[in-house]
Amino acid sequence: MGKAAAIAAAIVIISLLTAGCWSRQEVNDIGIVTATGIDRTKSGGIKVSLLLAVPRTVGMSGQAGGSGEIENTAGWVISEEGETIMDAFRNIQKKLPRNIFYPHNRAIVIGENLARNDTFTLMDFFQRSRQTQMRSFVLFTKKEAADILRFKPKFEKLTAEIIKEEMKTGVNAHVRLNEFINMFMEDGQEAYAPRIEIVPSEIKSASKEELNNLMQMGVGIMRDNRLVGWLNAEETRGLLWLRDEMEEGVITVNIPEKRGGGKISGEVQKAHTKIKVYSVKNRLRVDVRVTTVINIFENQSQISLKDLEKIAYVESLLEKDIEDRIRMSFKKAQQFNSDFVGIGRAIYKASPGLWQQQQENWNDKLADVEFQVSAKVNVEKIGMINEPISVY
Amino acid sequence: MPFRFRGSRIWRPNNNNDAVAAEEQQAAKQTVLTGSYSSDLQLFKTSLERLSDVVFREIQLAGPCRAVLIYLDGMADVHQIDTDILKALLLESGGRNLKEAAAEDLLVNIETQVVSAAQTMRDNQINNIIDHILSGGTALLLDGVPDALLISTQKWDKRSIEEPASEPVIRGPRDGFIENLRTNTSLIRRRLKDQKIKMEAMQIGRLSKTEIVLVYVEGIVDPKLLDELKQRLERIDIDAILESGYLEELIEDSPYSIFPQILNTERPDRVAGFILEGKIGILIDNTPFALVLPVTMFDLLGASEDYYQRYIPSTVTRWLRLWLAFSALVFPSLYIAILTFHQEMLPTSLLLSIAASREAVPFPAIIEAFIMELAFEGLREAGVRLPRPVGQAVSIVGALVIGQAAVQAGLVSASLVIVVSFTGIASFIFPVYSFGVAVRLLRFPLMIIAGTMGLFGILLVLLAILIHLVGLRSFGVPYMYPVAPLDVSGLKDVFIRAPWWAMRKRPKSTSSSNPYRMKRGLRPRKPHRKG
Repeated sequence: MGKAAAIAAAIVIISLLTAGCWSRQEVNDIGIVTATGIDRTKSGGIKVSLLLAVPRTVGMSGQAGGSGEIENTAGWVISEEGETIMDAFRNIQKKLPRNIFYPHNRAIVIGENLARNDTFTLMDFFQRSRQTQMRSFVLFTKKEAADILRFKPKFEKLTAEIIKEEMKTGVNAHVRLNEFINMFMEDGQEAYAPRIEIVPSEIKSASKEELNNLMQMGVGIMRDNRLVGWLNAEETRGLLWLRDEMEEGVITVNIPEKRGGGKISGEVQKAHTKIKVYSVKNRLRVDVRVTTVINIFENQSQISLKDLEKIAYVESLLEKDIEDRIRMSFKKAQQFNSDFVGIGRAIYKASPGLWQQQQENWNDKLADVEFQVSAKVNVEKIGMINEPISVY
Repeated sequence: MPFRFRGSRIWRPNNNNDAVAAEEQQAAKQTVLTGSYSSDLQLFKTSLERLSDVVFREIQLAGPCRAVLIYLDGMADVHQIDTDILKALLLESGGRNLKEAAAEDLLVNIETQVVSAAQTMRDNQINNIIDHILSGGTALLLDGVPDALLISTQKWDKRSIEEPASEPVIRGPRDGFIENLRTNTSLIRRRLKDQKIKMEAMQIGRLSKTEIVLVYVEGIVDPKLLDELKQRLERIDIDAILESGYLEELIEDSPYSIFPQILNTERPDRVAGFILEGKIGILIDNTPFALVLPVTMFDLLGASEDYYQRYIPSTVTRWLRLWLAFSALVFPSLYIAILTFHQEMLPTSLLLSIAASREAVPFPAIIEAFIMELAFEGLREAGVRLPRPVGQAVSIVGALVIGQAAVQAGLVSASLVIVVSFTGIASFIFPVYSFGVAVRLLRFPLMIIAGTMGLFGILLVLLAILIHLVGLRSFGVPYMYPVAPLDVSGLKDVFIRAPWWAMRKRPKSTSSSNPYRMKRGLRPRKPHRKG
């Protein structure tokens, strides 16, 4: 026992002393990156901006107390140029007393000037690096990415939190890094990513003080390696329908004058989209079928929803609205010659042989594709009242 | 002198044994009474010399026959000696037929007709007589009789039966063992009255001559287990057994293990419950703690109340206990490992909060955690030892100075104080204190390895603990039974507590020969309606 125990103790102690503590890093020695901005400099280099969280200002408001000034952000932007992202990181590290700690990065914001040029090659870093998480969101902006990071938020302490929360609402498209890279690499599918901008938080405010807010406005569309155009919010909704990523949204339809006029708003509860592609007389026909459940939330018209027939009428209006939106964003795809919808992908899934024939210059063939869409709306709930409020 | 690692003969302390043997040999010269009053009395006086608490009461019976009563003041009931022996002897000896009898019959007559004590016997072995006197009995020597009458007059001060301090319950009996062995056996006997409940007595301890009693149910207990236990007990040759802990360490299977392989309890209902499963209880004189063996880890994690409360709350309580037991082991080390190696594993906002609270702390997480854990363990130990009047001082110092002031001074982070106090609470959920101590101690190696090797190290140590646990045995029963080796039918009393009507079988580990506890179909049903 004695000898064996001594040897065992020696092995444990030696292995702890020699192999232990490798890669040890205290929390107060790391600079936690919460968002990254990437821009292109005029000289053609890469400018990387990091939004670091300053822990001192995040929690523990009780410690100082006396300053009286409310810190409106816990973030701090630091940026540096470099030839590659890693190079820029190294340059930032020179300016920083703490180690850059990347796993908590929530968002990667890519400036338009860079995205129009070259995006794909940058993605190598984010896949290769041991510290990045594939769950971060990818965003485009027309401004410089650093401006987005520099935004001082009102609700959350950090811009990255705002971006994350806005993404989670599901109203706009959200693309995570792994999805972004997958869309890049897939055949018959172009990538896209939401666009984020700083906008005034009030519309036509009389106040001189300008309050800003971060807002997602549509998506940026890629073709191959480059950003080629933008979709507005409406078209983005159509894109979400097409991609079967519709989570929630409000659809408002106008009731024609002959039926009393007014508007009805409904909210999407469930949505499912199927894309089928046929080859008819050497011409490709895309058939999109949408089935969705919509609950009515507002009825400003004279239509009484008590009636099943009238509900069916409202359903048909909603169907038409959805079909229009989808058609609109498919037109954009044809206009940009970029298959961000993934029609090619759908062909490949249905018949790989057909895809083999069409693969060549697929994006340019998109304009010739015949497009059909049909929506099936099911109104399930009409709310707490049956009749619309009316004056007798 | 060459250094020898083992078997060095330079220093031998065990000469004592020889001395004891020589002493015994000398005393063995005369082992029985002679019948000659004066020489016998002299013999006792020399044997019991310098025992200030031994009383020799010489009396003169009608006859004239000299007699002496020898007893130990303080252990024998003087009142009983007065009324039942002395009074009877002195008043009765003048009358009736005592004097007519022959000397040999005189003692028998006294035993059968005069002394009104419940337990008497005759013996002529000097050693036995002395043992009897020293354990509180009274010996009566008569002139001309080579026998002594031994009368049981034991009575000493004892604590009253109280609720066990170390194992309180909400629902369940409130009586606990006390230091008196006879009271303790009666507490069990009161619960289990059948003749199959055996209470075998043994004596261990050369000087203490401690009475111990093995309690078991004949027909349920495995006879081989009983033999093994007796063998292990008979092996013991020690000067004294002052507490059950002595015995535990002398008979357990793995003497180097940190985990207790024998359960100790103050609760008679708990012992009764265990012996009904085929386990053996050991009651030891002069301690309120009884031992139960063989036990599994899950016995040590169960409380007697689990069986008294309704089964659904009991089941949830067991989950809670298992979860807290595990967190008592790993929570501080997880904190250290994640904060020094795996910061990416925390949600961002949590990491930022912890980072904020640690911003001013000058120590690495492991040092910080060690300071606080040691302070907590110190507080706990002081809380047990400290004299009652200073109790408040310690709790004020503990709560204010170590808790609040340390955080305000920036020496430790608030998040760590939460971790330490949660662990502190969790470490007190163990129903068996000795098992809780083992887990609390294992926390420290885990913390060290967490600080040097992170989660990988924690996993290594947990694996080592697990390997040790599955290899451990308590009197041949695997420690992790019924999980490893898996016994599916036994699981209904581990992670859940099945209702009583569903636990028809006793655990297989200890009662394979007589497995059924109850009749089939005891689940309450709707009554049959007549007519």
